[in-house]
Amino acid sequence: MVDMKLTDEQLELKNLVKEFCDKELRPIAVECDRKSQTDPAGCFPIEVLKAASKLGLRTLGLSRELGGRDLDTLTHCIILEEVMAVEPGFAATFHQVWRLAQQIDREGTEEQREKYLLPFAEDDTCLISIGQTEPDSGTDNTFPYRGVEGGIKMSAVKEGNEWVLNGTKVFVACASLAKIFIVTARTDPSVPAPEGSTQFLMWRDTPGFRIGRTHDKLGAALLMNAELILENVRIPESDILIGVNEGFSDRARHFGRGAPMVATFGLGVARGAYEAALSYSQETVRNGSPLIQSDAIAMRLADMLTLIEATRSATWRAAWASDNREHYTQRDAAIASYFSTVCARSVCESAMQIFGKDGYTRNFPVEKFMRDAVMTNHTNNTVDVRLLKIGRSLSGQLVSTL
Amino acid sequence: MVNFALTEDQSALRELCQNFGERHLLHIADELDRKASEDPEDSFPWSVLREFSALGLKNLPLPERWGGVDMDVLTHCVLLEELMAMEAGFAAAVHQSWKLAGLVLECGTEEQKSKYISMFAEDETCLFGDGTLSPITPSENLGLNAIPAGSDWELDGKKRFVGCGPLAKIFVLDASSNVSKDVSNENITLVIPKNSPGLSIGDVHDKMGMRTYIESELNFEKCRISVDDILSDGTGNGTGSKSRYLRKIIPTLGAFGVGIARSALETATKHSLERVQGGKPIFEHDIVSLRLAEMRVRVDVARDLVWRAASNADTTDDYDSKLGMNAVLFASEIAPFVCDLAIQLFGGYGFMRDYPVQKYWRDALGCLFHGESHDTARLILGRSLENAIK
Repeated sequence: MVDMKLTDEQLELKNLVKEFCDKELRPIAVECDRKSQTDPAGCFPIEVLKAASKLGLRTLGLSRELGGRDLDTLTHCIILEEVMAVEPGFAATFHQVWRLAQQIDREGTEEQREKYLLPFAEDDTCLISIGQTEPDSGTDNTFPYRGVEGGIKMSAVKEGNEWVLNGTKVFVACASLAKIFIVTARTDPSVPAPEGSTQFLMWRDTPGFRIGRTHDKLGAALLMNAELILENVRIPESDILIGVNEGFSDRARHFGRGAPMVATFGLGVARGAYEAALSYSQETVRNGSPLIQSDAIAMRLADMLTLIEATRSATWRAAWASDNREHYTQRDAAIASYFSTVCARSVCESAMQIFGKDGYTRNFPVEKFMRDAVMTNHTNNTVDVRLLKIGRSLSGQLVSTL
Repeated sequence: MVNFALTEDQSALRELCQNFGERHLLHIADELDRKASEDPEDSFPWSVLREFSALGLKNLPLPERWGGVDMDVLTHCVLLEELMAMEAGFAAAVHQSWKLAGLVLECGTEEQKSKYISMFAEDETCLFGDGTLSPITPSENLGLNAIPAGSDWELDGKKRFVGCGPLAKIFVLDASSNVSKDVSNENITLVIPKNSPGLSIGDVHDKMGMRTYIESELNFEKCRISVDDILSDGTGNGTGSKSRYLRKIIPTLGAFGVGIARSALETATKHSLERVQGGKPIFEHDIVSLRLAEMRVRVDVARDLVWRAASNADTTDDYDSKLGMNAVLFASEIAPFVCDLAIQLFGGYGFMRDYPVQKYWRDALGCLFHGESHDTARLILGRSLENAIK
């Protein structure tokens, strides 16, 4: 039966996260962003992360026996929205650590859980990253392109009981800070990347492994994307996650859980901009009355809210479907993530219009939301690729990977 | 707990409506559209309505003793989408009777129910005529006055855009009772039969689309009504059972746009797989794929929003009708947009009446006038945010 009521636990977590964000994150968001202009690698508020860890927020993705809440996709989306509406870069960091800790917990071996997750749970500043994109392989991995020369180039060659990895990754979210890494490398160059790639687990201090530059970005500064450079990194067979040549399997790709989560990026950014614009239009007096009493402003806000509610509905459906596999289609998930980008861009622009010139200044958060919103253009897939996949799926044949 | 799955009963009803539409509506949609304005009473597909009633579909909102299932808002939206996808005008007539039967059930006295609901339930061609206000806007100038005459009232004036005016056997109407200083300043809602003395059918509106949903003027001259004809709101100040009911069913208006847009999408998808240009079906050209994707995204997102609003209306005690308005606004906006994309996908054929996309587009524009104009609804929603907390 169709129902939209959240469970008690979902409401509890939502409130917990919201309170944390209002108290710890909102006050420093603009300042951190400003700092990123001169120091992209040093702008992350590590003390906020520690505070989050104290509340158990960093480890929510873990199973209950490891002290987490075993987040399902919908709950992940609901609490992620709360953080996104305050600080999108920090939120994306949470998103990353929740899903990747859960990935290792669910898909890893007992030995891997002990080696990585026990220290992870103990260390208040431990974050997890996944490196897939390379300078010359982005969409080739995900669309996917079937030529063997396309896709991941980072090589992994077996020597005895070890694999030797060489290559470079870019745009790796959280890489500046993370201590645990999942890196996808090509273990069989004779077949297309989706069939010949493998995920490896490693600690940051593995010999031959180093972080390159931290990317200097338009928005989402706190996501701390950076390069990974691997030179003769030797990884034991036992640190292969899931299996050899399984790096693009359904298990490795979280059974499609990522797309609804990514839809929450646009949803939350839009909500943040909308809420800022709503307060501004209630508080700012022009021509003798609050801005919101102007018809043009009121209608703008109505349209923004409508887009947000539409996106939230599609996101919840996609999330629910990914938690209830019999209802899951790649298309529904792509629809939610595509539309959330449309929503975020449009709502942020409207918010800027409501603020007028104030909105263009850094005294108010909307210009930042506008920049952060651009992150949703390319998270997981470019918008064009998402749309093309939806279009191609309409003949009845779904594109194989999403 | 969040759930988007229909129950088995809902799925079965949806399939029933789908089959009904495919068998009885789809192939006559064009013909209905063409002749609707020539002879309204004759052009209405009465045999289709009889079939609809025979399947038990007309009485769905009624309680079991009248052959219904007490249909909730969500089921209403699901079924209406199916009907809208087949023939929007007929679907709009059905929506109206479902809505008004529900209103009489919600607010009517026992006498009113046993009179009008029985009549509706037992007569397979009985429809409700709609002369009420929009559920979203309270209008000021009703054009129909209830003037005290002894212990009764007399109705004088004119109603425009009365849905199913020439077809209905029962009318639900709003009238102003504030014409005399002695009477409290409020609008009243009435339920009266078609054959009330002094009530006559005026001009039929010749419309761009949704033409099978025949709307007309109603003229009233010394039409005598008594207190027994009043459908009580309980309070009259907008918090009573009538207003609550009308707010609750707002999401059903969103199903209009979803259904019409879906039919445009489906027609365009099918065409793109058949039409060959540049040596391959146009579906295989990226530009066409992208266009279809844009359409599909709008339709699916609109449906999700309508369902979410409907489910909230069904299950939440403190239901916030803002979400319902979001659903109507979004679905009503995407419908003409999706139809427009479909027309472009068809190229020149889209402009021809040989293909149904131009009809879908005309029908879709009707979504922008659910009682009030689309802009008015946007403005009302915007104003309601004046004191909203985040």
